[in-house]
Amino acid sequence: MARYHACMTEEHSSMSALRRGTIEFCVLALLAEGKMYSVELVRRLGEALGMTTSEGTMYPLLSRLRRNERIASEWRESSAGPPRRYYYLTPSGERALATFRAEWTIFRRGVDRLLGTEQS
Amino acid sequence: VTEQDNRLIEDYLNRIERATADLPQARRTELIEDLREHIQVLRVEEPGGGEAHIRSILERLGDPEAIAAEAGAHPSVAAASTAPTNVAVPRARSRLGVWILAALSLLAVILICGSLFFFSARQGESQSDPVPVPAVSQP
Repeated sequence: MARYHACMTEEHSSMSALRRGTIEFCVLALLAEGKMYSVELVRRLGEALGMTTSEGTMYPLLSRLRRNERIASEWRESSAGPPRRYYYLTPSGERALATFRAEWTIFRRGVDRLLGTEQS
Repeated sequence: VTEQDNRLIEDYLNRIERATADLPQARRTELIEDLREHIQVLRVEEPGGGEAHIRSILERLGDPEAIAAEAGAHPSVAAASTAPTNVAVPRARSRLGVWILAALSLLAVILICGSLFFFSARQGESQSDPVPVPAVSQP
């Protein structure tokens, strides 16, 4: 019952607001390197961010990015296993990534200064 | 691929389906198909196999309710909406409760005012009455 309540609003779901807001751009950054299928994307994110217990939450995020037209996808046959959905960045996604890169640098510097977490 | 392996996968996807009952059908289907693809791809890509492998894949995918919540579903609402009457009845009941409460408080107000009026009228009638009515004599 308690778990149900915790899941009732998106704000309280497993990914914190900060993670959710930034992971989205990590996805865009990975796709800026080239087309990738979802399992590959999830694996790369897991390696970089250490999220190995909630890989499934990536799919609603990818769906949202598709609906916002930041990314698009196409199906490709595979030599092993089912056809795979390959994701790629759209021009709008590229712009969003560029904007975020600039904002993030300023934001991160400000937060580090306030929290006293600057790296020397 | 054993029957038990498939059952584990279908059970998991059924939990996703139940938890996303309040999402548009297209989004629900898409999420389930994405997860199914994820599971099938990992089954061919990762070494190992068998039931332990399936369990590990599903564990890493995580809690179906958390995934549903991330997709914008409200699992508790979704669970209730599989039986629509369950949602409607309590709401109707609570509305009825409000009306009963309102009627009862109105009745109480009428009774109090009525008795106040009655007692003050009686007091006015017999000023010399030796038994005072203290609670009512105050304005």
